[in-house]
Amino acid sequence: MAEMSAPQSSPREDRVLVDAVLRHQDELAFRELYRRHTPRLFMLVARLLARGDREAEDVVQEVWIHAFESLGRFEWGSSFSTWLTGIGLNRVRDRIRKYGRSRESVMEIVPEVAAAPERHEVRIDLERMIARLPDDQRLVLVLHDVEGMKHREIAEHLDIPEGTSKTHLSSARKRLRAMMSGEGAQT
Amino acid sequence: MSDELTPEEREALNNLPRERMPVGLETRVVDAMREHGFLARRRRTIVLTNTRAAGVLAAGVALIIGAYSIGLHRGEGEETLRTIAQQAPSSVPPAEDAPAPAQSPPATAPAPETDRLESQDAPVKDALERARANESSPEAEALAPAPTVLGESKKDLDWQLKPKEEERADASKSTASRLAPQAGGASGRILAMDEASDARPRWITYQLDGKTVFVEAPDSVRVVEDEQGRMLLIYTSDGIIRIRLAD
Repeated sequence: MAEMSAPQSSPREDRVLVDAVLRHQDELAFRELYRRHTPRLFMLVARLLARGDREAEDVVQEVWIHAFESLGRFEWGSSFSTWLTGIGLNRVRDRIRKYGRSRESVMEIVPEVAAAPERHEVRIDLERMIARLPDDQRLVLVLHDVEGMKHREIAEHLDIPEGTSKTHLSSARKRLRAMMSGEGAQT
Repeated sequence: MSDELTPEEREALNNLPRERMPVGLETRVVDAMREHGFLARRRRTIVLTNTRAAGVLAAGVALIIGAYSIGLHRGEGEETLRTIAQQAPSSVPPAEDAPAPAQSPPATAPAPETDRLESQDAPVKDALERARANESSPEAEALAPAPTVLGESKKDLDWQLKPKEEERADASKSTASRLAPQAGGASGRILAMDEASDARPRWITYQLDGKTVFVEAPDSVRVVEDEQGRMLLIYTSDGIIRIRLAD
């Protein structure tokens, strides 16, 4: 998890803020933590769930609550960002298992930066194609090809064998190529 | 076809946005954190500026002065009522019944009462005129005590200070004996009364010109006869009622 384990802020700063929240119920410290980590967490959760912003917001809120409920078990062996991401992945997996995947739901991606029209359209199409992938394949493809995780990390987070992770990634890429070439749009 | 991503595919995936801040979620999450007890409840803090401190001080001083003034005023009022109650007839309740002393006849002003007596009772007025002309005459001596009932003579004051328990003891007599006419006795005293409580009327028996008079009156009304036994003076909160037998 190369990029995800390298947050913009130093772990020490995160730890100071977390301590301020735990000891003094400091709202400002929490807001700083929230603004530092939520954009990345929200984007990941929204892309993995592919069920729209509302559902992703609910999951992000659950992640923050659960994070502070279980902070006693966090020993700061990894970064706070990595720990939050792990909680988020567990929540996403639980949601997918619980409710299943609705084929009609398509992730709504609103680009935050202006881009050239062509690239903008390509990006929107790519997001929609990723959202149409089967849940298992989408999770592995996003974590590996977008977030940069290794198969070992993915296997740990999703509680699957590494081989299964590689198989899901291979299937996901093939399906994505088919959709991009227009062959898999009907599948 | 290889499973590896082509450079174009990798570039496309790398160009996907990695961050997006949801609009309005921060407030929701902060509220949820507060509900779960992780964040402190919002508290309104009032900054004590010099202006506010001065205002609070002024309000406190005004409150103290106001309370002191009210206390002083009430203290004076109670002292006045206590003085009046001591000077008024004993049947009038003391300070705890404030209006009564104010409406009772002022013991320190016998002259107006005499004037009222004169204006309301022509025969007595004539007798008083004559008595004033000759203070040593027997007629003057006979009529003189009547005004002193309202005045400050030692006898009146002793009568006013008579303990009410004494009247209660008199009231413990049987009804028959209480209603029986009492012969003789000093004038200006109550001869008998029934066992009525303060709230109930009582019967008071008088000897007036040799005839027995029964007066039913509540405890708050005081009835006395003048020293000559010729007139009943009934003190009420509205004034004095005088009763005498026709010639």
